[in-house]
Amino acid sequence: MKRSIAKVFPLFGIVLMLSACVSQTTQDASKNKDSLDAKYPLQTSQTLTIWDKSQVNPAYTSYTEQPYYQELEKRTGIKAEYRFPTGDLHRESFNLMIASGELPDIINYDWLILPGGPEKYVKEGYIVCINEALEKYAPNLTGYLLENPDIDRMVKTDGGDYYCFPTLRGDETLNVYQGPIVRSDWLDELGLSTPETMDDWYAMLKAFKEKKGASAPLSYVNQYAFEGGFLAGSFGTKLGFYQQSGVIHYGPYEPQWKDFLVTLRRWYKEGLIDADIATIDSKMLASRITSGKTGAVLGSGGNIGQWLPTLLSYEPSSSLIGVPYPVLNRGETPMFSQLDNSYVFGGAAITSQCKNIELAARYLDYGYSEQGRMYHNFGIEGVSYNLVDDYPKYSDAILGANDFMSEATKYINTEMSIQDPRMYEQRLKYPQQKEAILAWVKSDAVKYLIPPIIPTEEESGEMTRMINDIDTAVREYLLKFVFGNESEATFDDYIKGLERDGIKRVLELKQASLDRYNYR
Amino acid sequence: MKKTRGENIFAYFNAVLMLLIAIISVYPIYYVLMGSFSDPVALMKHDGLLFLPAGFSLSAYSAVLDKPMILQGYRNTLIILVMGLALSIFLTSLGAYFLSQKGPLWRKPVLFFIITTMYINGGLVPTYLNLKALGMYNNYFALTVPFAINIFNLLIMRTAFEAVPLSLEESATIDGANEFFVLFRIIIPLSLPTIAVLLLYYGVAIWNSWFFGMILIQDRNLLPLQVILREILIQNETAALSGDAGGAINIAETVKYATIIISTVPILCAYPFLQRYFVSGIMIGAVKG
Amino acid sequence: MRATTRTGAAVCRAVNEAASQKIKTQSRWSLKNIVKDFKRHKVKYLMLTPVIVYFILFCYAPMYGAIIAFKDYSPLKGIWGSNWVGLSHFFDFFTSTYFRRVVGNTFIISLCDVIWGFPAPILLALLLNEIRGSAFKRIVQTASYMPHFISLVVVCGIIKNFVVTDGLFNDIVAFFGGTRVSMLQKPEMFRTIFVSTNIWQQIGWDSIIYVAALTGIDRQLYEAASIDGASRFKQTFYVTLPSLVPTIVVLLILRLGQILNVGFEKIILLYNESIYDTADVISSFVYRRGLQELDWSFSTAVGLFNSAVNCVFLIGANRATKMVSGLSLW
Repeated sequence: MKRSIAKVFPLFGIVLMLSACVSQTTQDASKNKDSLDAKYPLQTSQTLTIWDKSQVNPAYTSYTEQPYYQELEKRTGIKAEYRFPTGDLHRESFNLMIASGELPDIINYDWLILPGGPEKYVKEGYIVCINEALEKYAPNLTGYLLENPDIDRMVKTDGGDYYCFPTLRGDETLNVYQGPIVRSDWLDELGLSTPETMDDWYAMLKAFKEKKGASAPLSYVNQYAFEGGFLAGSFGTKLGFYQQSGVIHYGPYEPQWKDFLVTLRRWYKEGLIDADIATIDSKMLASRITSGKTGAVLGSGGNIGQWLPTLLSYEPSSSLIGVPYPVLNRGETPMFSQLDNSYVFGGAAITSQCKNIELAARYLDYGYSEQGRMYHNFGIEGVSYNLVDDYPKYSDAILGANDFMSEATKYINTEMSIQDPRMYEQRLKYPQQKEAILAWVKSDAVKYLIPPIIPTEEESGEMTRMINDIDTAVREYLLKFVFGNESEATFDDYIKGLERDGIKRVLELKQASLDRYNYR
Repeated sequence: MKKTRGENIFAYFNAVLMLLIAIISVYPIYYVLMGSFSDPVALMKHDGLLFLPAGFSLSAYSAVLDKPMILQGYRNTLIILVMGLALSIFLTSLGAYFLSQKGPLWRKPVLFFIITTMYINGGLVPTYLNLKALGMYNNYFALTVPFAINIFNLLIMRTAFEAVPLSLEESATIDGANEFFVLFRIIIPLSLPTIAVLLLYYGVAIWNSWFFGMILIQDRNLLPLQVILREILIQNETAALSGDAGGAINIAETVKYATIIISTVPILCAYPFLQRYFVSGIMIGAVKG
Repeated sequence: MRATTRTGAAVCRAVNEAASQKIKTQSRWSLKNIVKDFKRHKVKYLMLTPVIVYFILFCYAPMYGAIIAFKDYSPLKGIWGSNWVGLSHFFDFFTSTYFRRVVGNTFIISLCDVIWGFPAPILLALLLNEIRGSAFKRIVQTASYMPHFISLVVVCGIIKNFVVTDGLFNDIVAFFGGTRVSMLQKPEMFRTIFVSTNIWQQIGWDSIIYVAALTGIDRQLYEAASIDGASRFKQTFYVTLPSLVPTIVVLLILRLGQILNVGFEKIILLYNESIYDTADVISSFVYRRGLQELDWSFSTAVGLFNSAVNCVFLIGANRATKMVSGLSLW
């Protein structure tokens, strides 16, 4: 009975969702007889109000002093009044704003990951469907979506509606930023080549322990280590959901998970993994890798940039490199890696209280034009960057700053536009960082990545409790097994426990979301 | 007064114990102080106890103090502090006075009325909407009035008031004093140690608070110190934590320490002023029962 | 006997009431009495008014929000528009796989915290009182409350640094010949770590109120006692402690009335999945639920459950202390 409903439901859902998008802009267009000329800067005295999730650059008391906003107003010709949530309480601020019912014209927020999804907010009348607005007033975004149909699918609802001007990553290399990192100077010293297989890793870690005296040869922050399939991927599994030929799987529910746990336990027992692995946080990890207690970690490109200065300060010949995710047999491609979708959070939505949708749409569309994209990513030519052989090179002030982003965000904004990989490249100070990304990107993760599916409110509500219990059970069992407090004999009980917690139902529900997504 | 040998030994051990406690207690703030003056690059690999800064550097302090909002934050917090303390002590005294009186019929019901609020809370959204409706939004009142009374403190003050000899009250009333006079000129002065403690408790609570400052204040010129410090901290942490932080020298750690020092030092300076009220000798010369 | 203070009067009355039958006049709450009472204590009620207004305006006015515990709250639909679900959130919680564990852990950790952490500041205040040199006393006292100001994040960072296999605590253990152990990965050690570090951080700050109370003791009582031949120790027992009792009673009852409130921040900073068995408490469990979906209804429901249990403990503690010492909160 449940199964058939789940199959029928997506179709019901689509019908319901299609009806959510009432034609908004026709009503609106009739109000504004004098439509605006589509050239920036627009000639208008009308203003917009925006609630934006991001922050004011701390060097300025108010956003009105920040060059990015000043210049944006000049370029679009539209004066916008911004409001930002204070500190990191944006979730609460957002909810309070919704609850109070006083909405600005535009809200830039994580629509995709809000409980109930963006459709809820459209249905309840908080934000509007922008299908027509995009068609009529946003040629730049529309153009980009036409050229990139897979992205187009991501930013729509299951019903096929658009709800925001999305923040997008313009290149695959922007989606991978985490992977295994190793002390390459140790590899050289020990005569080891870059590890590729699990056996390579075993030998390398043993050598680190015995010959370099590393007390914790491999270390990582246990919280998120296996979500990208590090180590687990070599057995064909990872800590999380993935899809294979359109079918949703949950790594820790698969039989391969046992093989992974057994290996992990063996490594732990032999002292190859940090004894305090469950206690380690990012700060302790940094201390371990930079003091030589650890030789291999799971980290990000950014981490390399943070750790190298410390390492180099007392061991000038040291180096950290990113190595590929390990596989079981030589020559195989890693099945997984950490990988984000190009559309992860959300973007700028136009609210139902916006009186001039055309103005809002045109204002937001600027960020997707050629000019706008350059502006969002690099800022003002001659001030924050210069074109050197057609390559936008940041100013010395920005490149030389202690903290790149602090300096750069005076002029740039990574949201409500398409992120340019050339911005990211220049953020990375060390060549090892760029090479690390290249090493990590070599995987099949794209095949198994679940696209940004949206569960319905009912599905979400049903899943919350189950997912929480399942996640807890999985993580507890993993550590207990690795520490030797559980044996293979209890693995079946563990699986049965997951079934009791509802893993099958969760898979069903997620499958429904995925089916609806593929139908878009 | 003759001291026995036992008493001497005890005094000796006590002194040693107290010294140990002092050392253990001071260590965290000492660690933070050393950390705040450390070079973030050197501090990163450091493990364990910290006796001297790991490589001297003022980068943490300059990262925090060169923000233009800091001074404003101090100013706002001071204003809120003065307003809040005056209001808190005033209202708490009134409530404690009433609750300490045995006469009124409604004494117990009022107590239950107040204690109930400790157990049932409307939640963030109704609280927020309510405060907005009352005008407690985007101004100094928002951060002082709604938080004026803390029930723990109220009951502590009641206890202190109950310890004041009834006879004092009675003799004052006989002399024709009204109840305001009794409360403010007799009971409160005799409860000065407790008042001093409550000034400290309320004061520190106001000084450290940030949550409602973030939610209720929209005008950035009114933000209290802790909110600003938190923003600076978050800025630095996001840069460090985000998966694609290019290569920022991770000053988040040292900035965290500098933030603590900057916000704690004023309190430590204020404390000695209150401490003298904890010295015995104030409450003498009372009428004997 | 004639009571000289209001606390003394309370004890007297308790004794009298216990001795004689309570002859409760039914007419105590009659309209006539109420009016008479208002007339007699007019000024007192007047002084009380701002306080009552405060609680009504800021505490009672938003209280209706607690109703979302019985609803399926959605910020979009608002409190009144959300669907009614009755007790389903409560059942959700009670039937959860981890219900027994988290409630049990909360109780145990909290009780340990009370048993060890409540007397500690009192003891410190008493010992501080015994210090002769006033400069030394001030220094120790000031030092003792400093940890209170360090943010939890930093304190937990320090703790974690000490408990890892090569950390300070293990160094000490190894020095005395023991084996090194990763302390935050052993469920049986969590309680000790949590409670003892609580004491470390709060003992000084919590002792301030007792130190202040100690200054209010009449010197002449000590003189009288020592004339009677009481040693310092006996004086402490018969003079110092009794004068702290009213404060202790109030704080103890209030503390027991918070029995299920184990703050999640410190738990979250210290725990990990390998010690969930002893470290996972109600607040951390609800917090993880909230990470999936900001489920305000569920957390409000659990909050109400907490409050109900806390209330029972409050009333029980009040009754118990009344029986033992004659003093109580009401």
